[in-house]
Amino acid sequence: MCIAVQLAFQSVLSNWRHSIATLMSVSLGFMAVAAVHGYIADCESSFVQVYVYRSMKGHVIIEAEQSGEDQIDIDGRTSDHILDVAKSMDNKIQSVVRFLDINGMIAGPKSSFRYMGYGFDVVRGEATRGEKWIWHTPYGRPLNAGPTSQILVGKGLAELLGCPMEGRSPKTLPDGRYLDYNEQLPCFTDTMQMTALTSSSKMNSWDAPIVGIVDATFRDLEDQWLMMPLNDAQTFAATKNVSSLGIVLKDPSKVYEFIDEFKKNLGSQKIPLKITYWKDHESATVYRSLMGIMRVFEAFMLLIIAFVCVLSVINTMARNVSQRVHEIGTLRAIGYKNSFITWMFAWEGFFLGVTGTIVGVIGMLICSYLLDRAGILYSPALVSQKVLLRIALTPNAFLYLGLVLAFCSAATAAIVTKIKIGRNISELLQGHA
Amino acid sequence: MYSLRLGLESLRQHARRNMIAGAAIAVGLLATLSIIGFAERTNAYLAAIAMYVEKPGHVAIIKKDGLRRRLVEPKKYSLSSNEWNDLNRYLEKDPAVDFTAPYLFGFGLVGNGCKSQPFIVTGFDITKQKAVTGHPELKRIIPEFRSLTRGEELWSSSQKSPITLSGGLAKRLNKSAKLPAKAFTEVIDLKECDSNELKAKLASDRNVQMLTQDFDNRLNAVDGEFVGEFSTGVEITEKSAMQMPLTLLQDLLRTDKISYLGVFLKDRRQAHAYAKSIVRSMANQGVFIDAYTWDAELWNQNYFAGAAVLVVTELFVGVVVAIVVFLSIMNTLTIGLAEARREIGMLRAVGYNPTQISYIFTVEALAMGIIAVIVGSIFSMGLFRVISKLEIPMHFAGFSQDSTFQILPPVWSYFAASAFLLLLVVSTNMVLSRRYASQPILDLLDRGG
Repeated sequence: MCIAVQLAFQSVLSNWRHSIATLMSVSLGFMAVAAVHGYIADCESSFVQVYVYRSMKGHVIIEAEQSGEDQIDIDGRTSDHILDVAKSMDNKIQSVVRFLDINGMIAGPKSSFRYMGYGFDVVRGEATRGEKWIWHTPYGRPLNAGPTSQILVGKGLAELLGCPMEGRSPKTLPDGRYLDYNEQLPCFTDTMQMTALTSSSKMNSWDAPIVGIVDATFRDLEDQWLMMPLNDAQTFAATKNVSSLGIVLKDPSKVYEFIDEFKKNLGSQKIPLKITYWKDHESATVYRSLMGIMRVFEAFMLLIIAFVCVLSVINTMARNVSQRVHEIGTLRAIGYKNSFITWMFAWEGFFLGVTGTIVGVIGMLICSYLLDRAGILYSPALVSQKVLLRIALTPNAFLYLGLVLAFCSAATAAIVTKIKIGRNISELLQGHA
Repeated sequence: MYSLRLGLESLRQHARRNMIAGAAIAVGLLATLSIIGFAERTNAYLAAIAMYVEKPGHVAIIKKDGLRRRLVEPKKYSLSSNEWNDLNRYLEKDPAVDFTAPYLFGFGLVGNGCKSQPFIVTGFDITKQKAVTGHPELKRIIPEFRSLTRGEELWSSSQKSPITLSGGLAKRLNKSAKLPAKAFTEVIDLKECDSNELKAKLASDRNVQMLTQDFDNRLNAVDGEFVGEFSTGVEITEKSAMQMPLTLLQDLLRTDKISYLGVFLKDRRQAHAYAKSIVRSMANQGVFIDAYTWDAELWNQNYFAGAAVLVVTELFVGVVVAIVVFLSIMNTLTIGLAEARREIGMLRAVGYNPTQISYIFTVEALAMGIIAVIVGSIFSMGLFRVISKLEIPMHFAGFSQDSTFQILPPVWSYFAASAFLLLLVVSTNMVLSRRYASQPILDLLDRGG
């Protein structure tokens, strides 16, 4: 090992008392930034679960170019063509689900209520939700592929339609998955009547029992949310159209390449199509703005922590250099250059940063474990369901953060040393630094 | 007195280490103020939207037990005109009340002749609503907020049945308040609905038809004249919201009732106490109501959850920053004392006792701390002002209008954060310096430096 590294390592060990506050600053700073980053990573993963899998919208959303306010749908033939293209690319696609947006009024025992939601492919939907969310109903059961009509409603709408929800809690696994509630709620026994306008603006009605209750994702939608099988929705709206298709990819990291290839394979269509990565989609505005704020917050934290850590390292190094000025003079006297001494202290700073990071990683592991054990639930703004407060462990981020802190410490140490030892050998031997 | 002079002299002599310690304090202050200021700004934004846009009122008065039940049985759980008049008479005399505004909610289908869309509608007294949207607190917190985005306000319209549509709903109905009004009186052939020519004609036609189920569960329809486009301020309702005068919505729902009465207080900080007292006072007069403050979990769940997350974040970051700054200060002070070890030994040798020496170092630390918090406060104020001037666009999650990134710590937070940091510095220094000065004189003199 290089002599400068060896000396630096020994110095860190022998001066550990002087370095302890700096070590604590570095490790605590590491933990603070890693905790914020881990929280953001966990939020991101929750968003992916909700947007991509639970809502079944997938990584890639296909809809008509004018699907927004103009509400242009994809006709049945184009939708079939999209499914064919998807089938030809099944080495890259895990599942595809078709959706038809629905809205209208549903009659309850004492009044009628507005509803909105979508019809979806039941079997394909199960494949998209995957093992984790195949059972996505806290109460009742998910839709099945049977021939009888059936609907799922949001918790708020279920309450308005006669299902008392107060005091009920769903049965869940520690990771948040739902278990079968195994109890029929009062509103499951009646058949509900829905009215809506067909694609040709004629009033139509549809009868179906509620078979389960789902999370509407956003609190403001809970009183209106409704889902039904796609075939029922299409018959109800007297159309073969679909509003959108959602594709789950086997490798989401190559989403933009996939979109380009899919567009090429699809060719030009009568109704221009819009193919969007879910993060860029209009429905993900909340995700984008929330994550944007969090990233700014993370950068701010990193800046503050880095500055305070640098101040700590400046002090420690200034003290170490002053204390070892005789030693530095002797090294210079026997032929070592200033650059060697600067490197030696820079390594010392680096080791401080690395040791602080290691302590920080251990601290993070303990905190994350304790937080998981505590099972703290909180209600995030806008979201209807309580979520578990967690800090994700992100080894890559730990590595980068550790390196940033170690290099910051090393650079600071090098600068401080260079300033302090810029004297001649006799001055250093006399103890001036 | 001499110790005081010595302490102040040390401040100059140990300029380098004091500058570093001072920088740590100033940065700690900046960090603390930034967190408080950002949380304060976000909270103020959420509160302003909750109180003046989403569900207006500092206190909302509803029929007893009607919070959810009025959705199921609106006839039974809405405030009748008698109850509403009794309330108004009482509230008008109350010096704590600025004004009141009645609100009625409904939903249904709105059509343009070709296609229909579902809507949720808010009916209000238009003169009262003008006061709500022009409320000084809303103007102060979100000066850039515009309720009306195109066309004219309901209170400026000369139409008999004016309505405004949210921007998204207007677009879905192929209506635009930007175009000059031109009535379309021909019979529409539904097959032509997708033709651009008919779409263009309908876009200028201001007439819409609204269909709903009234309070007695019977179907009812009325015509409305679209006069303007508005923003709900909240993303999720931007494509389905409608506003109209209270009387028009009462006609549509065939009722004289209201969903709730929004009470605006002269001092909204009194909202909690007022909500409790109004329930009691009205019960004594035989009017049974529930009153919710604007920040109540059951009334404004989005605000409540948003504010709760803010408090937790603020606490977490505040504690972490405080610990990191504390460690940094402790580190700086420890090293400073270690460097001054020989000096401490000399003072002990000439007769100073540990308490007096601790006093000298505490004076030095206090002076350094005061300079640091003054510099830190001035720097923070300047920085926050520059940030405000830059008008950096920012989009609060879930809200439909862009705002600006601002850090606005209240004045008290400057004093509180400064006092906290000074206390931290002084107490840490006092303990550490006393511990150092209590060591044997020979040890201090021999191993100093």
